[in-house]
Amino acid sequence: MMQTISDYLPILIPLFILQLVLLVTAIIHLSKNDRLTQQNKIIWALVIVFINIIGPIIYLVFGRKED
Amino acid sequence: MRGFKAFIIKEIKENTRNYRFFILGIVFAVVGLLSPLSARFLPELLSNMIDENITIILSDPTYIDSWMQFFSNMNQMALVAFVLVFSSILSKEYDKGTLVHMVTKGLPRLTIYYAKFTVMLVSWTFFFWMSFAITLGYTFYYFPEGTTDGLFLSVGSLYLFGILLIALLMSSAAFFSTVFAPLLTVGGFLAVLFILNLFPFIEEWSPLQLASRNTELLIRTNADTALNQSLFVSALLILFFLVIGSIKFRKKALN
Repeated sequence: MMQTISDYLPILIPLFILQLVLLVTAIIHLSKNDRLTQQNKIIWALVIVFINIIGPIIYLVFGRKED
Repeated sequence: MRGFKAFIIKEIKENTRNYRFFILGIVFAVVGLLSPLSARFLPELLSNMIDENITIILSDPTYIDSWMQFFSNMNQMALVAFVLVFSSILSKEYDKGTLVHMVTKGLPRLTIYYAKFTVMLVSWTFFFWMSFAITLGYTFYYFPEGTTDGLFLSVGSLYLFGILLIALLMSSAAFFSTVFAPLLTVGGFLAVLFILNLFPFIEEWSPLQLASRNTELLIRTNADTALNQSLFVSALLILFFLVIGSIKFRKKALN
């Protein structure tokens, strides 16, 4: 099993980094966004953290509210 | 020409600040990475999940599986994301009335229209071939026995299909003022193509072949008459959408 995982590492690492970049960008934007109420922010934070890839994208497209 | 250049720079700045380029870059890179990974990984995953009492024969994945995944991911994720992200390309400007100033200051409307189209076209070209390059690199890494015969034809036809959808998106953005109408137009266009595909005569001419026959083309490595017809029809449709869109945009109320 270890053998197979290390086999995939060259592709898994960039994938992981991309996800991380997306997540961090969305979280930073969310923390600076003052157009959302506190409750909305918590919900968005959950969406961003727990829905892989799609969550941060949905936030950046629809949740941003024009700045 | 100066107006064209200035408007393109403005568009690029806007799209960068809107996170559009950022999102598309990530989505297309993920598609490029995911395709060889899932081609390689799925058979192993399946064989682990299946009960020992059941035997199914799984052939070893080849480079063709990798490209098959690429085509389906490209159609289902990347192209959808692209159309979604750019669906508000003109509606936002109508909404805020930001085009009015530029037109009254003497920027020709056609310049605006074609500059917006150029920006979409260039970003589609860039992201598409970036994703292609990533898949190509990893496919060679994991499936060294693969060849590149027929690759350009099958990938290039998908690229052209993307341009067709972009031209339709642009022209419907000139016709309708809301965000969702262009989206619905593109979706409706695809639905009509799928329905028309039921008739063999139309299927031979349908642009849908560009997005649905990619894997077959990869194996055949050369174009047949049906594909040539479909390339021809697509090129005509792209021109047609662009021209009627620009005619409409010249007379469009801008706020």
